[in-house]
Amino acid sequence: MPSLQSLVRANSLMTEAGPMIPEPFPAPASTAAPPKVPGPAPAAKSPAASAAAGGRGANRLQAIARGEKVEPALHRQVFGEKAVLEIDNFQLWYGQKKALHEITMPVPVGKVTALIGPSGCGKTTLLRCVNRMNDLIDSVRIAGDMRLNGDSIYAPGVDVIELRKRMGMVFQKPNPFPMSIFENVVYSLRIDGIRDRNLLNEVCERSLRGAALWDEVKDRLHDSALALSGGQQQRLCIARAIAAEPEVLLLDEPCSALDPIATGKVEDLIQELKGEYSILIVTHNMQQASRISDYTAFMYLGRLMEYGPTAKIFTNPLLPETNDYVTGRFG
Amino acid sequence: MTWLMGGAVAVCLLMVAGLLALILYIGSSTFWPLPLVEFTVTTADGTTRYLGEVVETVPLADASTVEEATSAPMPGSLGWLLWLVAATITAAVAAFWCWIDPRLIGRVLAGVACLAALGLSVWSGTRLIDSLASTEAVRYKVRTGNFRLTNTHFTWIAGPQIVEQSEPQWAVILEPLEYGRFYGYPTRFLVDGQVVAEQPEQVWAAFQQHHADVRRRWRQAQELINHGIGAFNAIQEQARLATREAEIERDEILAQLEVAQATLQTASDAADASGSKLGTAQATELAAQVNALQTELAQAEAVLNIAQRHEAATFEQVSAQTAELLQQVQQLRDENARYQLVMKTAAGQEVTMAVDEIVRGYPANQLSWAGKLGVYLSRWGEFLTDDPREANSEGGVLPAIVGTVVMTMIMAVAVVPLGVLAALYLREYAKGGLIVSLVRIAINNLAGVPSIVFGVFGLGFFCYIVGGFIDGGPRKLQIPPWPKLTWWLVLTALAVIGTVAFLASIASTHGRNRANRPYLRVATGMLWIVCTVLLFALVFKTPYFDGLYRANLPNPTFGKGALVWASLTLALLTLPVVIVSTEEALATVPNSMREGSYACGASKWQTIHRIVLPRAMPGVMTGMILAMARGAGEVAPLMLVGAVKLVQELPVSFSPPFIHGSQSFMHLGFHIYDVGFQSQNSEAARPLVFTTTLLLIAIIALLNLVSIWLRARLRRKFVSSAF
Repeated sequence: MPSLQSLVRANSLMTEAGPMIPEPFPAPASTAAPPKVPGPAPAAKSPAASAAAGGRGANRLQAIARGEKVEPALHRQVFGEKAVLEIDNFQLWYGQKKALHEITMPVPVGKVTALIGPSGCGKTTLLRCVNRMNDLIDSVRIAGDMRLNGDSIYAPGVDVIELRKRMGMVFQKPNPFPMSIFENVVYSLRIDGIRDRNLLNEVCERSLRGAALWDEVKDRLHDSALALSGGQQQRLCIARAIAAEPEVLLLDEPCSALDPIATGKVEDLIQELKGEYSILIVTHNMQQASRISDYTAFMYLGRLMEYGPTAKIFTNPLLPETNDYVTGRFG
Repeated sequence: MTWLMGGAVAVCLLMVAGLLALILYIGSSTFWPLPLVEFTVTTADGTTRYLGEVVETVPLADASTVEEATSAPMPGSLGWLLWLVAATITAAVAAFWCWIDPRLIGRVLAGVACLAALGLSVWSGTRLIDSLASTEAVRYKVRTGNFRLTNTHFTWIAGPQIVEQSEPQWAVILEPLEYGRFYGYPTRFLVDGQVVAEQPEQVWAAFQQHHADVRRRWRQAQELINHGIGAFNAIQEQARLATREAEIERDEILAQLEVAQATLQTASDAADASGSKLGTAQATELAAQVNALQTELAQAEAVLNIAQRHEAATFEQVSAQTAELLQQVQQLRDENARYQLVMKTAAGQEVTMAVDEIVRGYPANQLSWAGKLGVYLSRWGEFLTDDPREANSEGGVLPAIVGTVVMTMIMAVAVVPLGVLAALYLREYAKGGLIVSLVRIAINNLAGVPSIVFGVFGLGFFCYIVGGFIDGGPRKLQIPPWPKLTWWLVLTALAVIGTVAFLASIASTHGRNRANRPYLRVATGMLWIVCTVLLFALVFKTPYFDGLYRANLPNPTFGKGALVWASLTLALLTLPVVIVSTEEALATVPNSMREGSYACGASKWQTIHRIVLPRAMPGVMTGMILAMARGAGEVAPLMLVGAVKLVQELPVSFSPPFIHGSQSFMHLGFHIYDVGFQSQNSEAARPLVFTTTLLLIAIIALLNLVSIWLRARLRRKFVSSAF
């Protein structure tokens, strides 16, 4: 299977000439087989028509509303980085309804990548697909693939449990387990059957320090985690997620249930974790995305619209829709 | 609307509180000693004297006297009326306080005060009715006892017939082992037939001096008989069973030998007739078989011989020991027989009683408050720690208490794991659908099945089928076992089908295209059903099992009503309660916790047993509490599966196996029914119904309190709120 970068290069989507609307992005051979339930009619437009459609924002949004295929605007910088996670022509249906349309994006290693977009655009769905949480929902079907450091996530025979152990996930609402702080942090080690007290203590301290929570809870490690405040609970969940040294950290609107001070702490924490961990974060708070992320992907109605360095997305986006969204004119 | 709803709550509370207050009042006053009253009554032929306790006072059903009585109420009535009003108001205020007080301790205190006030108002009400009726216009129900002389426990005495009424100082109540209470006057105390005291006070002093020692010796003798003789009987029974087992073995080999000999005979006859070589070889082989069987038979005979000799030796030894023991008992009894008490009844008859057989005696009219309290507590002590006497109408209920508690415990141990596993499957594993809905409906309907139906099922299935199988194997159930070859073939078939079914299950739940193969699920289900049927067939047609207690047949060991079967029947009865409450508890575990666990890489089972189950534990405990409350109070099914009127031995002991599951047991609920309605002396025993009810309620409350305390602990641990 050709790698994403090589495909992208072969199609010479990105030129040094500056911003332009990319050509239609051909589906990789591996995901050519279409799903049984017909999705919206595939776009049968010529590159010229596409470019024309992209020329004015209204047209592009109307094309999406008509169900036509719209090509994303990908900045070339995102392909310059080594990718920890490659999302490859990924599609998803809830029953008959197609919720994710042919999404292709690399997530760079050691950086913070933010997913933004209006409500219902599929950013949380996409995030939950990375560690296959959507397997728990019966009506979900998918096509396409994702690769974590080169290993396919959706290939037949993949051990989902082993896969999830390679990732950490933090949810919208803090969900500490009904046990002590210590047991919460070392949960993923416990389920691996690790009993070595020294190792557990070490991991607990390292993770809590990593989550900037150690000083606050070091004297009450064996108290119930449910007695912590909301912000502390969320940082505890982050500590739990990084305890197993994940290859990628998935954050699903981690600050949406927190007050501004707790939000600030969690944001600082994300800044500190950057570099050590690769972070994919969903947020509906654009200021947050601009503050903490290195790359930003803008999604709309299940489609990836634009993906590039945060500074570019927020100051000089390729698409007028992106500009409208980040400046608050729609969404 | 608020008033309507509040009123409904108030009516419910009042009914429950009223019932509890009634049980509390009558149940706790049963053992309070009443004064002894002597009535002189005119009859057709002169006057008769009666001595007894007044247990009930009712107005005469004569219109003229009633009118006369109500027109001139007794002076005490007004006082009792004031008492009644005051107590009722106090109860209402206490109830209100209990309702509004924010502190737990305040509520408990107010609740207790409310109950006390309710009791007081019931009491003053009865006294008010008593006082409203004048002496002339009432009938007294007097417990006159002395059943051995009069053949009756109670006498009705009409007020107008009474000439004289007094509370004599030396009227004494005796509670003998048999024939109910005895009322009379102490006249003489005899030691070795010699009169040592003749004045009532001297006689009573002598009685009290010797009574404690005599009773101690009596208890000692009783202990020797119950435990000593019981142990000897057990030893002897064991030896007898060993012999019987050896005999059965021998008979089986003998039967086989006879068959083999007959075959050999026919075979050798045929060989002789034809003279063929093949026939001879066969005959030789058969002869070898017969020889082998004969050797076996000789061995079995030898074993039987040893067993018989052992039995005889045991018998001799036990007989000697029993004789020795009986001698000891006789010594104690002879010593006790020296002391006798001569009593005179109110009618003037003299009765000589052995001090030995008097459980308790007291001069009722001389007792101080402390003395009355002493008698009261002593009666409670006897009630709680002693065996029943007199067809359960006297003595204690210890076996019933132990039986109830042990049965409830075993039931809880059986029902909780089963119910929790079932609920886990329904809530966590099964995908919603028609079948799951049907199962849920069936479970809920199970809760509505009359409990006697469970009793019938328990008797038919547990006692007769399972119990019979344990006792005597398939033969006891008149099921002809398969030949060994068939049995092994079926076992192989089961193994093959089981493997296929297992693989099919995996394919139908894990395959990528599982949705495209619905027939696979149906086929898997069918395979599993076939497996179950085969398993049952294998168990019930096995040629390798002849029962664990066949030596004791035809006396059943497990094939009758027994503690385990009663517990299992009640477990079945209370299963829906546990399943429903566990399911509800599982449903309240937030999905975010499950997701969090999955995201950490936990498998489904790890998530369930580390996160979901601990979180749902309080709900499981609630189910257990409800199940225990329901199970402990159930009577109807128990009558069929093992609760009996009277047992000699407790179902628990300090010798292994500690809990004797095959024993019948006594149960407080059944005891209530038995004492109140089946006893020959049920009129005298009726107050005991209330006392036993009170005790049963107290035990259930105690069991529940323990569970509630456990649940509160778990709740603090797992579900403390964060925000």
